[in-house]
Amino acid sequence: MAEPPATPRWVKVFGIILLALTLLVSLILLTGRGRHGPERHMSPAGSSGSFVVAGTFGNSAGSALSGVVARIPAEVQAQS
Amino acid sequence: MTMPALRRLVLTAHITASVGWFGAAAGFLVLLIAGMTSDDTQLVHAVYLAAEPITWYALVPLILAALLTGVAQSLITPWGLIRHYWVLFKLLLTVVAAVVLLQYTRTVSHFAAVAAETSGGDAGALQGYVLHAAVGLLVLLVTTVLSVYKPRGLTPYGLNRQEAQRRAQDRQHSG
Repeated sequence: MAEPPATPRWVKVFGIILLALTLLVSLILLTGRGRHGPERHMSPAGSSGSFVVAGTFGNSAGSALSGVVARIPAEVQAQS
Repeated sequence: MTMPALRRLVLTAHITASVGWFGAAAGFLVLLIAGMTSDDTQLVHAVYLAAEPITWYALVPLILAALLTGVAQSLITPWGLIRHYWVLFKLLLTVVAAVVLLQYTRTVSHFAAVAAETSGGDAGALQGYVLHAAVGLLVLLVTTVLSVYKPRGLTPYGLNRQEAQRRAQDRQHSG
């Protein structure tokens, strides 16, 4: 019975590159820059349910709130 | 509708969706770079706002259309979906790109919502946008090269099918 043809070299090269990129992205996501998505740009602000978006949007006039936007869910606002 | 006519129709839809995706991604990237490199806070603000409809009404529909028409095209042609390595790699790359884009819509919608509530803007998060859009374009370029060159190579499944077809033909000739 004839031997099956070997896997083409381009497939091996392509596979290795894809595998390396997958590992790299997984490593980045699992380590220091682990958080992905909008929450990556937020930091906890103490009380439960509230969070702060830091360094994202500011007031163009350069007020004290420039660069920091406090976002508090409606149910927390209603309690306070 | 005859099979060749159906194949041509699905191929036309696939090329249209893919070219549309490429154009939308390229235009999006140019817009993002303009926002990222600008000191004009109004422009940055506008980029965050514009990013959401471009993502939801151009990029997402086009990538899903490209994926669906690509799968349909492969299933109604002799190429198959997992018979040839180049088709398999195209499928994998497109699925990964679609999943990453759908994940990233959360970020885009979040910043668009924040932009809608505020005036001005900080281009900080646009770096992430640019990175994702640039990688998306690179994926599209690779899938285009694979489609045009169609490099040889059958998967183990494709080899088995080819062998089974050969045996069936031999039986027909001898019988």
